[in-house]
Amino acid sequence: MATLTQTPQTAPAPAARAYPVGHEPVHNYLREPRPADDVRGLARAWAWVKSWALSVDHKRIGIMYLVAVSVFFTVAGLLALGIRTELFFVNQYSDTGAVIGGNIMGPDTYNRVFTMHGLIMVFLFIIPSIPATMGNFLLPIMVGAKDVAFPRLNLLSLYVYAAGASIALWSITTGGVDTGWTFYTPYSKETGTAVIAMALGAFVMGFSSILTGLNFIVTIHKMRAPGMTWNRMPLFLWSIYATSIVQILATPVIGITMVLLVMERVMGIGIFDPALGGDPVLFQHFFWFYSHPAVYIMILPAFGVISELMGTFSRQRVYGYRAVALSSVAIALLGFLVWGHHMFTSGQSPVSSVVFSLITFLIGIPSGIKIFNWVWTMYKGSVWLKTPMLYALTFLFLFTIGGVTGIMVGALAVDIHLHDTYFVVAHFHYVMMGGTVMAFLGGIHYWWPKMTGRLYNETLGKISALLVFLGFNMTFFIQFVMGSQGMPRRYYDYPDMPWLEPLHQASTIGSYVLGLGLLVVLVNGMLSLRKKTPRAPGNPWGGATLEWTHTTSPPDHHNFHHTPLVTHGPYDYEVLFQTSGDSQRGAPVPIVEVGGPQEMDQEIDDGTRQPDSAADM
Amino acid sequence: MATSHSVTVDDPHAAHGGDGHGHEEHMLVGHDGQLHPSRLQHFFVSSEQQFEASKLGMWLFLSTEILLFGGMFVAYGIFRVLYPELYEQASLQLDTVLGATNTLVLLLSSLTMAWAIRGAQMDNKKVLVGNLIATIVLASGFLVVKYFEYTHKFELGIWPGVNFELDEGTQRVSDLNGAVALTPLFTPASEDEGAPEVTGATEDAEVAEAESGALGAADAPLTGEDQAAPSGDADAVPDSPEATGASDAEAADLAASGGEGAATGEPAAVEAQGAGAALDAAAASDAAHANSDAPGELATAGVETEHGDDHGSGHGREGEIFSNRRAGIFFAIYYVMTGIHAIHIVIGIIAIGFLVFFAQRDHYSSVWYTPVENVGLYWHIVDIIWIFVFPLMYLI
Amino acid sequence: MQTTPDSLAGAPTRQSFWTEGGSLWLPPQESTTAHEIDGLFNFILYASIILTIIVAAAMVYFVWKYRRQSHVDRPVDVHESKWLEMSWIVVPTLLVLVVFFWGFRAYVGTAIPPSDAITVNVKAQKWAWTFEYQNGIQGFGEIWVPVGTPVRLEMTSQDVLHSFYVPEFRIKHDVIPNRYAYVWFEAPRVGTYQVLCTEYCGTAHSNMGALIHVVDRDTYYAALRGEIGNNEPQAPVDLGEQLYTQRNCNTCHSVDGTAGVGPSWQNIWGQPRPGSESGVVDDAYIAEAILYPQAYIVPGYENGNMPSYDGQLNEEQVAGLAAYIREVSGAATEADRVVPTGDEEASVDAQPPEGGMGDPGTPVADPVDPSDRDAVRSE
Repeated sequence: MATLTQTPQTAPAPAARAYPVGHEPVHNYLREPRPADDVRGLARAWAWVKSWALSVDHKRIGIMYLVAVSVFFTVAGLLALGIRTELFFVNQYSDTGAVIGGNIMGPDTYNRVFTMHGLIMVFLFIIPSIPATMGNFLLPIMVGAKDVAFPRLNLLSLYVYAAGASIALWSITTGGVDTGWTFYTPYSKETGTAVIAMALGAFVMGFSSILTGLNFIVTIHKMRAPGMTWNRMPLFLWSIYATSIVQILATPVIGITMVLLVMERVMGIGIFDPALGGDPVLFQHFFWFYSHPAVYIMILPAFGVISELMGTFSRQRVYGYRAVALSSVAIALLGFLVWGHHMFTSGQSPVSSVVFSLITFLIGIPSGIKIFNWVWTMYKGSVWLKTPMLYALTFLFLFTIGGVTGIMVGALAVDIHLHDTYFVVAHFHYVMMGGTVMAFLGGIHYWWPKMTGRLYNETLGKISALLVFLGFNMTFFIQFVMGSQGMPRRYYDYPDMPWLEPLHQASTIGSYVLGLGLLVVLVNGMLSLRKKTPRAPGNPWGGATLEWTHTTSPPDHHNFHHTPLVTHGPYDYEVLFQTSGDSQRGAPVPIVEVGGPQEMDQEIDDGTRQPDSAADM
Repeated sequence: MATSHSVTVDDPHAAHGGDGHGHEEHMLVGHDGQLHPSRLQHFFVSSEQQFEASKLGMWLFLSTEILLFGGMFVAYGIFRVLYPELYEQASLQLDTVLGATNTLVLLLSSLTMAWAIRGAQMDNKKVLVGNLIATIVLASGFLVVKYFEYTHKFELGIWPGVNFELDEGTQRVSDLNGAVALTPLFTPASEDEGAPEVTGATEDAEVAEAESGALGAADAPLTGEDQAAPSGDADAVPDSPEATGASDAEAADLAASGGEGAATGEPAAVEAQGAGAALDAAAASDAAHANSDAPGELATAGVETEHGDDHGSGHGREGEIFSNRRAGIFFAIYYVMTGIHAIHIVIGIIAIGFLVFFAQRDHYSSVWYTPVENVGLYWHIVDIIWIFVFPLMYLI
Repeated sequence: MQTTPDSLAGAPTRQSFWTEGGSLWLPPQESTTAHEIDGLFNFILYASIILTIIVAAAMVYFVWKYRRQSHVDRPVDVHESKWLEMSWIVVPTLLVLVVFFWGFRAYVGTAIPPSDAITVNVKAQKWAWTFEYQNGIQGFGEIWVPVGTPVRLEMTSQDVLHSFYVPEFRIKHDVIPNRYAYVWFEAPRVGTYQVLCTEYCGTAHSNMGALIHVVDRDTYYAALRGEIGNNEPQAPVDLGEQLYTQRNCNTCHSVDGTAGVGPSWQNIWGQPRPGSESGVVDDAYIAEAILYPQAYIVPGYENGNMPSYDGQLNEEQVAGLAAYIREVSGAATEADRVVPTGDEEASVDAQPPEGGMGDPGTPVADPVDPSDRDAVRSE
């Protein structure tokens, strides 16, 4: 709420009654702050835009990130469909060597398309996906704070991200990039495409990532509500915390690498240029020193989301809370020591390959622990198969497959055969898409009522989950077979292996099914925003973390009216069975019961809405 | 937050109108009816929490700075191991006196910065502002010295990477680019001498005959033609199409010198003989090609130059370094590291300038001096990085 | 020397997905080290399948057994069991350690070539593989190696990163400019195997194939003497036409007027070119464009990055390419069609090797007595 500065209030005062301290009207963050009532027309629209674009409210920033990453996810997904469509047929050649059939784009276009798919998915979508959207939205609420530690930096990170994305996308207008998302030198030094713009874009977006991580670490360390001990933190926060450590420590390295790459192109400094005595393998070391931790930036937040979903929808304490929490941190730290497993065939010394392989296996163990703990969470629970839970179970299945294939490509001798084939492509899609994106979708469905105050359509949600599951497996499981049969990555055509055509075709059809499933998700979200969809109650799923028990849906502008006092763990669902007004049935009762009736809007607008006093407990 | 067009946005995050004068904490009434210190943002519980949060955030930011430079330190280390003799030669070209001066200047500026923070803690505006200005002056001095250092190097033709000027004074590595030889860094580990390639009870005479055609030197696996593949000709554009390929003698030279110092897989063991010699030979032959006035100027490989007396003295173009086509790498790392460090200095100057501006307006007091503290931390880290750069680049 | 693709069984042995000796997951094993790698692969595969089934079954069972019956379900409080947690830490740890050591052992086996291996040099460039025996005889895009003998490939790249991959041999190694990389294999059976490039290297990355012909001793010796393939002297035009496809010019340059990565060759002879000394496309300009492509770049093709063929094509071959360009520009002269009376190299008729490309399934007897070989290796 406003400061008590001397600026005259132009807005009409709310209903003339004095509120007791701490019981002012509830301010839905989606509506407040808003233009004064006497502002009309274009000026009103402009004032709305400004109230969002200049907002330092972490919830609004999270929503803006959500819109941005959804757009980029759509763009990169369409590029992926282009890749699969190109591979549907093996090319037919005429006698003079001209392509006469089977392709929809030339090799150069194809190379740009798969590069842009990788770059947009990695840098613009998946790295900011969960931390910047749900992390921003939920982290302060979950620790019981009013905002992150540095709200203005938070807004700055959004604009830095937008700037980096603009620079990166501008490279498309100047010819795109065709190096693959890994930018390996010397090819990236000599190719004629817009590598400089893309590298600078990645450099700038790195700052956004750093700022977000920095904010989160400080918030978790310094802004926890009274009673919110480390052992009472929701597991989502633990994983975001681990992610932020990785973001802070790894991102500067890609920053300097990109700077050196740009200088290499502009000035020919020779550090990566073999012709001048430089070392292209050094670039790979630099690149993977960031980009391997980056895959943990991608997956760790997903672990956190899955922990929340398994707990809430099993109405059971997450099994082995401490093991799950600490394994996140262990993965984050071990993740810095395994980058060399991307380079088993690159000519690094065999000794380092062996060491990297060993540590890679060690990092598999915490991931395994997590999977077993999540599955066991359902044991003697009360499993509620709602859409978010479907996505969570999908995650468990797909991530298990992604994990065990990770063991395969981590084994030295086997990786020699599998490296840079479709097997690797399938493996990391199982982990990134089958892992992170499933968790992202599950989390979006789970927190959608909290973010928007509306309920999505459950049937459509279930249909989308089914389509995504089927389409995904059809697309990528076949790629395991193709890869182990020797189909290399980044091939625009497979003239030497025409017998793989049926497998490619099945994979392509699967990708269309997957795209359809994701389209259903989008449509479902859009439909739920219509005026006539039902309002969401404050705690539709019976969650026990602060965002469900202590805030309304959507949350108040300041999250809480009083700093909450945390008295129980994040998964103590017993608390919900307190006799707070519904003792007869013994049903779990959300402590803050807001929403539902149509008159709520009216009450909010009139300023007569009262927060539940139970929120003070 | 009143805006134009009489649009009012009820923004709770609007900055507190903090123009408190004097040193007592200006208190405001927050929306929960409680008194707040004016500097305290609404989402913090207490001033201590706010201060600690800012400081932790700053430390985290500084860790990213260390990692940013860490990448360049790693590159430095790797190339030092790859080309030890090159580094010895190249660091002689750096002016130790200027470097040492700059080190002193930076250390002094760290002192004044710390003193400025002390001034803020003591509520002594004069000490605070005076020391901040002194820090700015010293930092600018650092940049001035850097400017002279750089321009002197540019005059000598010491450019980073591909623009490094070789001995001939008129020639840059980039001019040779069409002909830069890809001489392998690591010569292959030599086979057992004379190990027959096809062993077997049936030693065919035919095989022996066929293999007698192979290059005898088992430790020069690629034939001369291969070695010299796209190399040899200094002229990027040949005078005539007939001038294709390298002359045989040159190719043989290359192959032989490349084979001399078989690096046995440990590049550290290359003692200015293996790759270096090949390069020298290549560079020399290039030179001979380019202006073949004195082919006798072949730089002899592996000669230990007497260094010590020429440290920090006159810095003309001397030393073998100017015949080494890979010298650009050392200077590339030098320019990148010191350049990015200089950019950090500039950012620091701007930040301290802001501090001076606000300190003049009595923004800081012993109760609230977080920005001064944070900029101080930043300044010290920039200083510490230089403390590492200086000995690595200039001294060893 | 030249080799023509159809001189000897040009097509790879493998022509279908289902092969004898292959499986759903892996291509047929055609090298002596493949079975170790496949053994580990299959071990992890079956362990993974079992683990995944266990996880999936547990999930399905729990979801069904503990499904929410009513809105007021109050689950039983489950307390952590130390034994359970320890078990799923310890068992996977032991499993991955087994996998690690197994992988390590197999890796050492594949990384260290036997001392009696024959060496073949491999040069990678955009977008072709060049093989070279120790005596300088070269093979463009294909190589003949003896069956049952370890072969060590010594590889380096002319331009960017490439990667040498033969699925049936389970070997792969990046090929790096400025360095040497090594792989080795020993093929126990006669056959022809496809080499693929697996490190992204630009436009024609997917067309950068080569063939390894595993042949019997006699054929190998013939190849070593440069007798395999077409040594007939050819008219310059024919030579140029052959080089056009053999050396992958056709990847970027069309001969029908369509612009590719590089300019088409059709009708360029005699066209004005500012980059040429004479101002038009002539022999000298073509030679320069092939040997020093960066000297002048035709406007509009700045992104092409044509690799230099300096040291890779001899004068005769460059002249042949120039003749072919005249041919597709309709300016070929009589001299271009005259077969030179080759007195510099005696033409040797290609000898079709006896029993060369037999049934790939028949193993060829190891020509070396095993005891002898051990003796050699222990030296």
